[in-house]
Amino acid sequence: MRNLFDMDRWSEMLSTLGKHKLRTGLTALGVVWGIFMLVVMMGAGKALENGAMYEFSKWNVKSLFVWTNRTTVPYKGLQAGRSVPLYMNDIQAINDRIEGIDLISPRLWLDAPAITHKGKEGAFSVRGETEALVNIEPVRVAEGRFISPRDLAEKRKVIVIGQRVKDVLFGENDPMGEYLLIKGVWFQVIGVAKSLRTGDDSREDDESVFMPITTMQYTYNLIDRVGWFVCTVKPELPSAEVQAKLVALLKERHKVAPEDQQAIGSFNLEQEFQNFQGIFTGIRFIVLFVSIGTLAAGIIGVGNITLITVRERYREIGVRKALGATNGSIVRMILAESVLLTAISGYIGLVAGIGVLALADQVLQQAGDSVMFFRQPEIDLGFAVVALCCLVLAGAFAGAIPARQAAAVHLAITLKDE
Amino acid sequence: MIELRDIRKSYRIGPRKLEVLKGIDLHIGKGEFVAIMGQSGSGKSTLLNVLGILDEYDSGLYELDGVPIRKLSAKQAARYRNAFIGFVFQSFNLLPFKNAMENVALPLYYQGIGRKERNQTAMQYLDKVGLADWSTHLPSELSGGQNQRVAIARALASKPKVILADEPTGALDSTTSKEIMGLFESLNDEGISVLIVTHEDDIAHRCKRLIRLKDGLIEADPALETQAGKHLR
Repeated sequence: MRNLFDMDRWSEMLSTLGKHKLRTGLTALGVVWGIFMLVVMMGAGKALENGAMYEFSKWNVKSLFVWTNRTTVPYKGLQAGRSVPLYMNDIQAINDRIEGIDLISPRLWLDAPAITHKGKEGAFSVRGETEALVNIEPVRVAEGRFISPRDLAEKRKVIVIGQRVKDVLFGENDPMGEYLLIKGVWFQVIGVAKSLRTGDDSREDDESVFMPITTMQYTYNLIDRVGWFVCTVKPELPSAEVQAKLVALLKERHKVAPEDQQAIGSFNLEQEFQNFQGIFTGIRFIVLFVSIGTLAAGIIGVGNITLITVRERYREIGVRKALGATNGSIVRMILAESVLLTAISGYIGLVAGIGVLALADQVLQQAGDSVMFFRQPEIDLGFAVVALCCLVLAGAFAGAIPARQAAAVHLAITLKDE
Repeated sequence: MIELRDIRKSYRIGPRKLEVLKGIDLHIGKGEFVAIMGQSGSGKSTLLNVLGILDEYDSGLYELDGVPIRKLSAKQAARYRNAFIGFVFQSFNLLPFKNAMENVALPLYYQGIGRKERNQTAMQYLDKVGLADWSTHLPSELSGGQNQRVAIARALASKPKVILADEPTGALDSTTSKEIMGLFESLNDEGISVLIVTHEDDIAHRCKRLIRLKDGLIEADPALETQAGKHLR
């Protein structure tokens, strides 16, 4: 038996494939398309995942957001529909009594008052925050500094302005140290903040000004009041557990019925993150399932076309056998043709798919952060190699039935002249 | 060189058994030029298939160059076909996607001979049949007579013991037929055994020995008659 690396066999096979361009092309197309789709779909799935993970990476995943609404259940002689105000001592109590709280940042806001500077005016939301904000939300300081603990302690009249606020009120001028007038009070600009979020979400931050929450409480007659707050949970503790305890404590302090689902609202980012991870596990599974299906269709196509072409080639096979080809050599010929065809077309599909992903990546990079939830399409090279190996095996499998048929061809019948 | 003794062969068609060869006795010596004639259904194609190791026979004895051809594995059969027999078919059976030289070289490929030597040998035989200038042409670019010459060159390339030709002129006009027969004659003059199956009288009569088949039996064979004559005398 001649060995696998016999040059003659390869050149014989390549010339047979090369001389039947249409047949070869059509057979190859199924596999090219199959693996191309597999690569592109997996890449797209991965890009979705990367995109979502990138969005999450801007936040502290252990964040809990807590706010209050009106009560919906009467409790301890209090009617439903009562509003539940939050105070600084609530924040203190949470800090003291709830285990596992890392940072806690109470917040207040003024709804879009007019802000003026040297004749220019704009309506922006004004937020009372603590220094912890930049450690929790995707807001970073672009110029100057953010609110400091001393600003908070001394209730300084300083503000950090959003990027968009700077553009509107100052244009190209340096805002540092300038004074802004908000509801009849002057504040000095100490920094410019920039949102890390993408698209419309970033405008929410960029169109805000931030001042120490204590300053806001004392300046606008909101002493001790807290609008809502955000806190982070220590990494080793599950957020959901702390969330439950925290909500229970607030309900107890404000005489809210334990069964009241509305009065104390909260949002757990970790839970959302886990939900997303679950979704992506699902997406990965679906992509894999669909891709394998597409690929299987391609491989069955190869088998099918090989089967048909073997039928067309009965005479050729008969002639080869009459000239001394053994059954083994016919089987090897058909098998090797099918394997070679799937391997080469698989490789072409793989390269084309990776090419498309690379192109998409470049376009996405140029688009920058404006495209949300789609980022760095890529596939695992190891997976690609495994897929290609599977293809070679599948090619052998697809060729096996036709090859056996070809070998079983009865010579006297195939060579018979019509 | 070819020794057939009481060769029988039948086909099963549904519940019926159709006996095609009913006991063929035949001896063909080295260098003979033989024609086998017979009506359609006389069993001549089946006989040729048995001779060419393309089909098996049910009973009897077949020896080719002293080698018993009986119950061969597919692999052995392939090897014997390659070594002993050169086929020439009515419809040429050249591979349409290979040029003349590659077609002639094909049996040598199955002998495991390297490309260079293969192509050299193929060119020699193409030259022998007068087609050296056409070596790079595909069968579709050649005339019927030229295709048959390529097929004969291919049959010769493996240096077989015998050339088996099944209606070699069946697809050709009479002028070309004569040329092809001329080629067979000159090959026979060089000592190559040639066996032609035909139903055309003028083709058969150009051979040196004419065997007539009828209903699966040999009806007339000059060799037998001489033997019988000797016996009678």
